[in-house]
Amino acid sequence: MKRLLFLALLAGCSHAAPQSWVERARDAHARADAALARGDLDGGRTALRELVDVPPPGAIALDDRRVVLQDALYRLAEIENSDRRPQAALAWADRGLALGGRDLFYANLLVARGHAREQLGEDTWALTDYHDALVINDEILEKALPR
Amino acid sequence: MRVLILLMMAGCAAAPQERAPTTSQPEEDIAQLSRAIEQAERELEGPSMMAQQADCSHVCELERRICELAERICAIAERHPDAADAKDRCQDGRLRCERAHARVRAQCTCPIRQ
Repeated sequence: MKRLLFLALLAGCSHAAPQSWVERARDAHARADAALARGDLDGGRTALRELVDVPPPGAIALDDRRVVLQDALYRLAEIENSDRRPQAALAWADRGLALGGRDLFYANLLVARGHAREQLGEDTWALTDYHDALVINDEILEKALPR
Repeated sequence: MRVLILLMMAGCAAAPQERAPTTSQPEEDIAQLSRAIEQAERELEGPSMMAQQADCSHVCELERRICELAERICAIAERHPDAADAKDRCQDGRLRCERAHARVRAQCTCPIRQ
């Protein structure tokens, strides 16, 4: 579901994105999906790092760049969480959150950071992240439902 | 919308003059006009009503996330019974989950969670 949503948004936001970069992002996610499906966390990491470590072309609109990077950073954070490496997860999540926004991509990163903080025993901070993510999801729901 | 209907009513009001004079049946004329107006209202509102329908897969997913996060928050709050802030956030999360559930279910049939 998240993947479908992301691809739909990617297609929608690609008005200014050179096709090659969009294709590269799609390819990175596909390779990460394949690697993770066979339990290959390193393969997933490698695929997504190729996307986040290379600066996007200058022609990419800032918001397009943000959502593509945030989605990849969220996935990287969750890979680290599932590999019981919360500090690494925290670093990826913080990097994504620093890009700003107030949408599903941002909320996903808050959830990933909450997972990392829970693993680190920082329950109070985790709770704050979860609650912030919940409020954003609620705001999005409010907008999505007709009045 | 109202203006359109009023214009249509104004147009309809002229119609009886062109009709063959019948035995004056004002009640039937009024009923006919009412039906025409209702039909016009349905046609005019149709597309906008369609546009206002919720994207059920999207809103169901949002509801699921809200309620999962609320559960997670409350699980943490239970581990820290002395933290008033945690209790407040748990309560707020539950309220938002219930509200989301009610609002989404009023418009969509969401898949049952496993």
